Amino acid sequence: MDNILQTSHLAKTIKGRDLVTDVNIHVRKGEIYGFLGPNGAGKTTVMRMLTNLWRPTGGVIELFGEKMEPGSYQMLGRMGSIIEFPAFYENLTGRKNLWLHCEYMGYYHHGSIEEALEMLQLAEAADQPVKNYSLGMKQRLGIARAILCRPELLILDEPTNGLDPAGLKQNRELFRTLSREYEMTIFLSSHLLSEVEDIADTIGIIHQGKTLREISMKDITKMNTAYIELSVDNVRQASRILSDQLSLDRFKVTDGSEIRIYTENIETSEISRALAQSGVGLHAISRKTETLEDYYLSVTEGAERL
Amino acid sequence: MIKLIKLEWIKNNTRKYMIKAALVTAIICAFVLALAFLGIADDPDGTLDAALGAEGISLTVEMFSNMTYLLLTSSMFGSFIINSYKNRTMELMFIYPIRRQRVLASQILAVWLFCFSALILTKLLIYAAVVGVAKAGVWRSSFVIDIHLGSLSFWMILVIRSFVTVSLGLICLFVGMIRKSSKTALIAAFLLFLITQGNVGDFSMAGNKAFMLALTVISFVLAGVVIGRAETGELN
Repeated sequence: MDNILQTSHLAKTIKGRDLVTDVNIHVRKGEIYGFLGPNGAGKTTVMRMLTNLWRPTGGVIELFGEKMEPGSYQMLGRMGSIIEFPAFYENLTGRKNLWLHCEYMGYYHHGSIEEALEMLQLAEAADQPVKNYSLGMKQRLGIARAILCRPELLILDEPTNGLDPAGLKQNRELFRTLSREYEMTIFLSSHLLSEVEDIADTIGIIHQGKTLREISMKDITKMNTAYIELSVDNVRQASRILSDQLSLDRFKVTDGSEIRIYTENIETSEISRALAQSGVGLHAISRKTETLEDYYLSVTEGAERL
Repeated sequence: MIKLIKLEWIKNNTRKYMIKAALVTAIICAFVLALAFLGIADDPDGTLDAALGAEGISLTVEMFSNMTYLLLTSSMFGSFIINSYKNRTMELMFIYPIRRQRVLASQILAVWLFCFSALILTKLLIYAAVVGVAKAGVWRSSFVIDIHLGSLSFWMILVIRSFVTVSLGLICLFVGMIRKSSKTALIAAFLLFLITQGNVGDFSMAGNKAFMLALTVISFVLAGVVIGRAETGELN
């Protein structure tokens, strides 16, 4: 079993409205899979279907090598999840909420609650009612609950919501640890692309209810073309100099005053000298590498143009 | 299932409802004793102001305790089930490796068993208090003391009426679920009480065994619908 989770042409329609129409996901065992997409693309819909909260109206979900059916309850015991904001029994303490989770999951492992509380730095607040927790603490308690029973697959919908920078860093390390040391497979969505870029092994991009691309971070890194970005006062004249004088053809105007040159065999000093000699004002010039954000935007914007 | 029911009681802080039930029992008990022995509902000339055929104290005890517990049962259904859809804890329950029908059934049973036991206890305590005061002979009762703790029929009626009352709460649950509102469930309980105990002129459904049986059957059918919908319905 290479893929611990995969979907094929997954679709969901509610009251005549297509929420997702063709989602194909392939998550390998032990990897961290970043599920990206703009607001309303269908990320949460997919996650709700993966956790059996919603039933697909089309397509197939395969989890742990088996097809997911409406009665596939046992599969849920091998998963931990957060869908949107985690819900708690607010009058009960954090510790009691985790205890209840273990009871429902049928997981009785001495010290696991303490360990989860320690991992998410909630030990001190463990005996306070959850209603007194801040948003960030609730999010961390949600993660603690999701990992508490050592699931094989973690499904996390925007797990960084409400976390401060320290919490974000701690989460990144936690997810890496869970993936590497505990061999958990993590399927997470986030609107913070930099967060995903740091930890994900594979990226899936969903747009308007369809998966546009699935690609490993290694491949993105390989594809990431280094480019030179320059900001000038006269884009038209600068473009002419780049093509006529410097014989460059791989460049594009990205903004009203910005140009990106995708050629490695030229020095920035040579470009600035040519522009200066022609009287083109150069505000800035630097060598850059495309980030996941650039890749993501190029894929989603490309889809929108279609 | 027993474990699931216990967890429901823990989650929903059932101790709070125990205190409520004890408080309600004390209030009804005090009221019934005042009615029976202090004559607070008597006419100025000292005669009992009760409808014809309602001179027995048991009818008063039944009416007040049933009304109170129908409201308590609906309130608990609202808190245990309807609110858990609203605050998304039901969603949490549905990600556990437990059939949704079992989840709903355990929640319904947790409320039903608690209220049924509490109602029987409440009635027993009030009946015992009435019999105790009557036997002490200090005060004369305005009502006929028609309580025979030693008779089988007393126990059978006690159990059957409590069963029917608490089961009627299932209709309120169904209505509340349609509107996704625990307040609606409470209003339904109040209306249901008016229908089953109220009267229009001389006409009343109170004591109509066929009607109560039909309502009880409907209650369980509707409970089945609520449980069945959990499997097919989706949380938004």
